[in-house]
Amino acid sequence: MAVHSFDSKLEYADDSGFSTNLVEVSGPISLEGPDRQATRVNSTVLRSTGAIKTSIAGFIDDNTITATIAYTAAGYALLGVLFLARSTKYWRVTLLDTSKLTGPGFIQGLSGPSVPEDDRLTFTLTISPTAGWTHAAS
Amino acid sequence: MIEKGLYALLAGTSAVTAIVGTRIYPGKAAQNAGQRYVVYRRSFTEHRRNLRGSGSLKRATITVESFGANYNDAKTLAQAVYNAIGENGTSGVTWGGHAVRIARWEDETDEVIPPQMGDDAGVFSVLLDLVVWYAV
Repeated sequence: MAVHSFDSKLEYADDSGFSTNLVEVSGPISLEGPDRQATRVNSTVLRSTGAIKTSIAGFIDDNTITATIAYTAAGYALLGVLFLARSTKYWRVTLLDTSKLTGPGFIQGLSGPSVPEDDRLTFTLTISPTAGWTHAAS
Repeated sequence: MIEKGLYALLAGTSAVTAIVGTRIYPGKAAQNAGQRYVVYRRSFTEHRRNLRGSGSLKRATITVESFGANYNDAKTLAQAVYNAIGENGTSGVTWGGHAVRIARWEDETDEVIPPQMGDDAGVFSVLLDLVVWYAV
C-alpha cells in the first residue's frame, strides 16, 4: 500500500547511531533522494552476440539528497552554520511507515530563500553523501 | 479565526466606531440595522502545510463591505475601514491573538442596491477584498 508523505522528517546527528546532538530540520516541504545511480560500464566487443551492446555495473553514486524547507530565520541560520563549518553529519530521513534512509554527508548547497509574490519563503538544502546511504524497512 | 480578530480591530478603532457604533456584522447585517454599517465575510482560509503537518502560517481572504445611505457616506466609511486595517506589512501586529504578517488589499468595488419598493431608498456600498497572512 502506498505511504503518504505526511510526517516524513529529516534529522542529523554527530554519530551513525543518531544519539549525539540529534537535530530535526524544521518545516520540510519536500524531500528527494538519495538519487542512487550505478555507472554503466560498456563491455561491448566487436564479436558481441547479435550485435547487441553489453554492459556491466560500475561504481554507485548516491548523488544528492535535496530538501525544500519553509524559511524561518532561526532554521536557516542553524543550517548556515553547519554549511560554513563544512561538517560531515549523519543524516536520516524517516517516513510515515518508519522506514528510514540514512547516511553521512555534508551540506553541499544552501540556497538563498526563494521570495515569490504572495507566497511563503522557502529554501533548498542539498546534502552530498560522503559514503553510501542505506535504506531500512523499519 | 482571523475574522474574529478583524472584528476586534474594527470595533476597537475609534474612527470606525464613530461612524457605525457597534454595527459591525459577520455575514449579514442585523434586521433594520441603522445606517451606516459594516459587514465582513471570510471567503476561505488556506492552511500552509509542511511534511510534519499543518504549519502555523495561514492565508485568509476576507471581504469587508461598508454600507451607507448615499455614495459619499459609503465611501467615507470604507476609507475609515481601510485606514484601520492599513495597507502595508503589519509585522508585530496582532488581531485577536493572531500574529498578522501582512494585510494586503486585493480589490475595491462600488455597488448600489436599488430600491426594492416605493418607500425604500436603496443603499450604496463599497466592497474591500483583503488578504491576510497570519500565524496562529
